[in-house]
Amino acid sequence: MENKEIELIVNGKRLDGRGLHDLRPIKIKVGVLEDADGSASVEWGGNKVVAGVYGPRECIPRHMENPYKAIVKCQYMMSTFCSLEEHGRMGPNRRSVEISKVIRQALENVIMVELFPKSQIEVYAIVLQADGGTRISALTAAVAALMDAGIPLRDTVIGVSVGKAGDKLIADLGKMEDNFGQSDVPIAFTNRDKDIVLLQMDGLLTKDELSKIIDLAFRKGEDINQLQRKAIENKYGETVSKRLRIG
Amino acid sequence: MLKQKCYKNEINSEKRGEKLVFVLPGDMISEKPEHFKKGTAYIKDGKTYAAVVGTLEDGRFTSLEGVYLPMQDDPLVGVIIDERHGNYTVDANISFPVLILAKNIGRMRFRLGDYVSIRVGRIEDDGTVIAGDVRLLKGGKVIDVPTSKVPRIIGKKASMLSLLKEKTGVEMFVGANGYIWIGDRGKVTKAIKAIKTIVAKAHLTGLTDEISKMLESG
Repeated sequence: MENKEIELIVNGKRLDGRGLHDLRPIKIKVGVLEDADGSASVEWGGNKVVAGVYGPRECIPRHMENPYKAIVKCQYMMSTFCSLEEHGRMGPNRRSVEISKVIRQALENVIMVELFPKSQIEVYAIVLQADGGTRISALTAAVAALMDAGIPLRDTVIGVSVGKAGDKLIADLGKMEDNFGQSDVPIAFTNRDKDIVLLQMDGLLTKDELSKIIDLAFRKGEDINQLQRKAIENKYGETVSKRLRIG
Repeated sequence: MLKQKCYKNEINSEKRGEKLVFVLPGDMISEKPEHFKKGTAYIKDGKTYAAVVGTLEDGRFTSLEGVYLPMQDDPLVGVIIDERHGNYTVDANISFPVLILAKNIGRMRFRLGDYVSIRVGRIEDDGTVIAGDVRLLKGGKVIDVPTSKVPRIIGKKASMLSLLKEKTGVEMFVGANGYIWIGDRGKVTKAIKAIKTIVAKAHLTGLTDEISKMLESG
């Protein structure tokens, strides 16, 4: 693999001209789908993800229902045209089943499932365009869609991918850094208590590097939280600013 | 004198601007344990946190989104979706089953697709709602609005609802679950248009006047 020789960091700048700890431009929009109970779209650098939330509603099939809490169903899917590589038919495969599972487990930690016994909450996220870090983009879209649907949450979830490339710790990995870097750590945590709800690691890191990288993710999370806040405010923006003008 | 007055107003507006803040799930809304509507806030370690998106003004939390959770004695509108030997099942925008027990309704019979108004009689441990006070709503149609906007459609002392009924001449029954039944009589299209406007502008002040003008103009 000659590509492995690729230099990802030159003079302290990354391939796309970003600094080591800079995020790509992020756009979050809420309420993009008409018929879903809640929906959101996220543009994170080159990633484009749309998420829709349905429920809580009657659990189907019945044998899956839980008399004490709602079950969360999550489906992450990559569209056939999302990247340069051949993705083939759009459907559950080994990778999408894994990512659906980790997103579901992250969301189960914050959704107040005990309020809705015998019900199901469905979360669908489709990647329209992929550019590294789609699971974090999908999770961000899913959380914004859940807030839009009015489903009670204990806390918001913030996701960011951090890693190591060219022997430097970096934040928000792009596709090249993801594929050819030394390590890739997608991490998601709750906003208030900083409880980690998703942590995966590709490649190798020392113990010290891992703790440093988690601190970096927490710092970057502040920016993403502000963007989430702004996205929700934009939905009501007009009405609220009007109300302020009355005073 | 005039200058002073303007200055005063400015300060007031600034203060008001500071008071109204957006709240996301997980944000603290009170340092004391306070009780809000179920599913909109929760208490942890003696403090109250928001569970849904809302606004905080003068320490008063208003939810902007929400899922309907049945409470005792809530009036609901529903559609009969299943008929069994001893009960009818109702779709009432709730994830739990809503049942009308045959023993509670005497000789009354329903068909699939009938609209009914019910009252939440009893809530079982597993969430099942047993309906009480069942009435058939003849004809008409049911429209669906977000639950968090229902108080605005009814208004203070039902002012908005009576305005809608008076100006359009429709029969209307608003369920706490977000289903609204509108009868066949009167200007139905106009009423639906007004309800959609209320939903879109539910956070504005002076909405009753606006709707009143809208209904009068045509």
